[in-house]
Amino acid sequence: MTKTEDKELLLLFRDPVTKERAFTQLIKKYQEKLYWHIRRLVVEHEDANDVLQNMFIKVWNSLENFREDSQLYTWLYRIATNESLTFLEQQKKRSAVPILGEESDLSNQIRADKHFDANRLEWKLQLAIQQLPEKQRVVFNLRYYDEMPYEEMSRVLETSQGALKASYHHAVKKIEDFIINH
Amino acid sequence: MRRDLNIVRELEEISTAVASVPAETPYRVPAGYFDTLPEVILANVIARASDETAIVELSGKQPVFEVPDGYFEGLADEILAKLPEQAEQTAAEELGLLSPFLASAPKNTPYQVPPHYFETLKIDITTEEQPVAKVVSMNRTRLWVRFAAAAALLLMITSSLYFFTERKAGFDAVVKQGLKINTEAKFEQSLAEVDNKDLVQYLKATSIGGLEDDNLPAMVESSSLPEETEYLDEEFLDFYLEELEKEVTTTIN
Repeated sequence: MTKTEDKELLLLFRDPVTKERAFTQLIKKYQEKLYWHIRRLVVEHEDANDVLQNMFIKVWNSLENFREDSQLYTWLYRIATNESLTFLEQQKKRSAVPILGEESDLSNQIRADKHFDANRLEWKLQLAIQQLPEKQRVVFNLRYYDEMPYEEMSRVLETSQGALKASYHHAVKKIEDFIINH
Repeated sequence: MRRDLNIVRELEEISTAVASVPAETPYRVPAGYFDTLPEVILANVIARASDETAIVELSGKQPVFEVPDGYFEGLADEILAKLPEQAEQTAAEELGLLSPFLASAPKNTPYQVPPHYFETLKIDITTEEQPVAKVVSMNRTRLWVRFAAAAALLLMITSSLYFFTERKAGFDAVVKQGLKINTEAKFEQSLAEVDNKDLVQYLKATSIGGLEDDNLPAMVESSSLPEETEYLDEEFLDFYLEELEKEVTTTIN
């Protein structure tokens, strides 16, 4: 992901002739990263697909006015994160088990996955992640899976680096505790 | 997948257990999903953009869609015809449509009731009388106050009138008495100023029934004039004149 490539894509996008081609290229460049970021939050593929579609529609509508005061992928991650959290909020309201909360709902979805294996650590890790508060989940995922620098993360989540480091530290401790005890 | 060493070291410092977990997301993706995703998203975007354009055209008050002939004439009847069907729907059916979860949930209220509560409740209802709350009318109090105020006012007016008239009567009497005294005092003063000779001549001229002229002065001199206080009384004056006449008659005889 180079800045030059992103700048070129933006120029192409702003040209009506090349707008659609630029947009397609943009999607191809960021689709997997953004998809997995969303998927780790919402768990189900169908839900992740819906959120991803909505997210790119917003990109199509807003990219022309992108001010370039941050990197393009930071901006894309921010939209993806917000769309995912909004989706989870809506799911919480529609949830059939409001008392237990959304964490229980997503944990059940993980266990319901046909490839789920409780003995495998990576599945346990997914269950452990669902025990975290929403924002802490995002912090952990961005740092652990996307290896995003704290500086970049602070722009995505609009939170100080110190707070993000502390949040990541607490998240890891909670996950460790879950994995050891389950 | 090659990991960032800084990230790995950081994780190992916090938790070796978590650091040992493979950093792979175990979720599966449908085959060829990412291959067609860009085209799918683009088509979606363009379709939505077209919808928005159609909405913009509509807002320009240009009719875009056609409506069948007579559509609105029969619309009300069509809707009314559907209403009885919906009304027949039971509460359970309605709940089933709105929320299958609630419809499947047991309808037991989990609250506990003390033993024999309803049995004792029946007895309590039949033996106890409900106390009737006292109703105090505000208007009644006000009415009584009104009457009392009116009576007090009337009493004041009557008393004032009474005392006023009494005073007036007393005052008039005093005034009359005063005037009488004043008039009579002036008369006596005038009489005292009259000379005896003139008085005798007057008496002769008026002639009070057979009185001798020569005796009149003596009679006048000898008779004592009534006291001032007696002079005021008419009855005394009459009496005095009678006595005077008797003396005159006796002297002549």
